[in-house]
Amino acid sequence: MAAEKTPNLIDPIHQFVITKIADIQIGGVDISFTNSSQFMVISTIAIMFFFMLGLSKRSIIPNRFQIMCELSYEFIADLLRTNVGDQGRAFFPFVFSLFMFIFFCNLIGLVPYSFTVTSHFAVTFAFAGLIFIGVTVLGFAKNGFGYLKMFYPSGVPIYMAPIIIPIEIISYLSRPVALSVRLMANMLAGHSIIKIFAGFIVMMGFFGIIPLAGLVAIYALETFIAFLQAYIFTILTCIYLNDALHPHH
Amino acid sequence: MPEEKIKLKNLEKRIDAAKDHIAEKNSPNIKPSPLGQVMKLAVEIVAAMAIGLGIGLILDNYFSTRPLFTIIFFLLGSLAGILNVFRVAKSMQNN
Repeated sequence: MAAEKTPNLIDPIHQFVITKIADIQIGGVDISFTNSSQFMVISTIAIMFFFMLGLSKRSIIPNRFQIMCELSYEFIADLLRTNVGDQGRAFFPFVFSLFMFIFFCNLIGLVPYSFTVTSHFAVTFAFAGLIFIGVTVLGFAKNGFGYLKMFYPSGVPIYMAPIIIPIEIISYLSRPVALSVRLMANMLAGHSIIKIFAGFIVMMGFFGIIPLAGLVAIYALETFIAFLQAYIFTILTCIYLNDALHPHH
Repeated sequence: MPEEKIKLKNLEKRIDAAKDHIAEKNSPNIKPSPLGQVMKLAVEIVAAMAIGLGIGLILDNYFSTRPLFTIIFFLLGSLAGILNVFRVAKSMQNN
């Protein structure tokens, strides 16, 4: 949100530009350390500090900080229990770190001058694609070829199979795309709106106080969306896990 | 000692009721905004169409039969999108 630097030029997309911090090339593959990677590292460190500080005392009567840590644990544990059942407990570490990482990336992206990692399709699709591959492998490992029954719902007459099966397969393949586009689009749209409103404040001079009030409300909404999108991403991961573990619907 | 048993039963009932109460209170009661729900449906249908179109284009490039598979898979993708929307709407209704 660098509106202050160039007040005449309002460019809401500029905040999403990826810049290289350290240029690293290994075997012709560009693995440079970018501002995106920088904020991923910051998020990870923030999560580590959050839990290390919060859980360092381990008192029986927790203080507020410890309650926040325990709440986030219970929130995800509950989510897994209700959506996947007891078998889901094995996936708790993965789902928990996924939720915390996305949530912290979204939140840290709201800090002015920072970069929103989750506003890039490459990042969200990397998550969704890995989840998709993992869930598919898990489904075949747990159910064998019985997992393929998912693409042919019971009760469908056999002459409908040539149409239904491709539709079900496309529907299945569209999951990671829908999952990642949803997170990316929400972050991109939200941050662009914030930037545009910030531009209005500059343009309108004294009357900029009106969009400023709107901006405060949008900022509050964005904070909620940061949580909501992390929650939706996590709950859909849980639902896909449940489909892989118990593929009868 | 039937009296103690009755007492225990009562206690059990009360514990169960309390547990239900807590579960009710703690159940994630996060309702997405109407705009969010519409976004969800829109994303579902677009994603399925895009996947269908992508598969069609890849098959056409492979067999060089443009535009046969593109048309077929785009239609299938649209149907899959409608199916997705139908499923999501159904789960929304259940909540």
